[in-house]
Amino acid sequence: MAFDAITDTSDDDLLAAYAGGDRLAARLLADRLLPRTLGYATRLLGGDRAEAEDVAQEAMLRLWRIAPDWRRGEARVTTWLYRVVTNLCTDRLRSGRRRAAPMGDDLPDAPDDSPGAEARMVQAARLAALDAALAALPDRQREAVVLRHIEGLSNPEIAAVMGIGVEAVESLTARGKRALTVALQGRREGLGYEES
Amino acid sequence: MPDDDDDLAPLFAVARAARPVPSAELTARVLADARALQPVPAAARRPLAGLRQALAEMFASLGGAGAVAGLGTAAVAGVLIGYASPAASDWISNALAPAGSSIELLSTEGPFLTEG
Repeated sequence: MAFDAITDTSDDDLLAAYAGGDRLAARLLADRLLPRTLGYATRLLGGDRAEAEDVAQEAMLRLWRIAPDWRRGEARVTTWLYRVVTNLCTDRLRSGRRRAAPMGDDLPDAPDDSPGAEARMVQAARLAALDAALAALPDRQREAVVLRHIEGLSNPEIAAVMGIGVEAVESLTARGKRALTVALQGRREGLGYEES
Repeated sequence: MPDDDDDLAPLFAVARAARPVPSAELTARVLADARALQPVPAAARRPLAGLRQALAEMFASLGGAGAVAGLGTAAVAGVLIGYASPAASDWISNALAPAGSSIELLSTEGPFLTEG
């Protein structure tokens, strides 16, 4: 299959090809969908990478299982996956299985004098601060904010993922962002922001 | 634009760029699940369906099962291969050379390739 044909092939078509026995389709779908599945799960679970991998694998397994019965045009594959990941993460959070990941694990231990090192450290600190603030949000606000501003979904898509109306999505997103702003306000100087 | 959006936008941009990369181990597990759950194509699932159809068509064209009974084994195989539908042709190669096996068409052992 030519590279252009691969990139132009929709998730629906790849899923149908997988269900029809195509060996390459699973690889292509995994390359497309696993990174965002893992990324979304990691953020919902407060940075717990091990739990996020379990969730991502389970979500993809459910996709393989439903492939023969997938009905085109009813939902996007990505919307369906985000919904499965959301539900799996919600179950884990409510059952208390999530292990709080220590923040700052990704920061370098030893001083780094290489060019751009300071910029990278500031970037890593900002990301760690955002992740910590996201982890402190109520579950539904975190889901809405991550789906909107990190995963890049539209409000109608988020509504389909979360099973709520668009206005409810907007409300959750607004409240979540206000809470993030408050949480990060006291850390402006430490995160390298100039005082305006 | 409220100040909170000005502060959050660059943080969100950093987060978008820092999406975790699936490990090779996770990818392998996901693909192993895919292989285990992948449906088997209908033609491969029922290899004998093509054989039955081919036999029925052959018998009918040769004057029925009685006439076929008088043919030698090689003749029957030759007619059968000719009648086998393209969709069921894999079962022939699979039966002759199951997946994973190899057929040596020209022996590299013995005196045949040595000059002398």
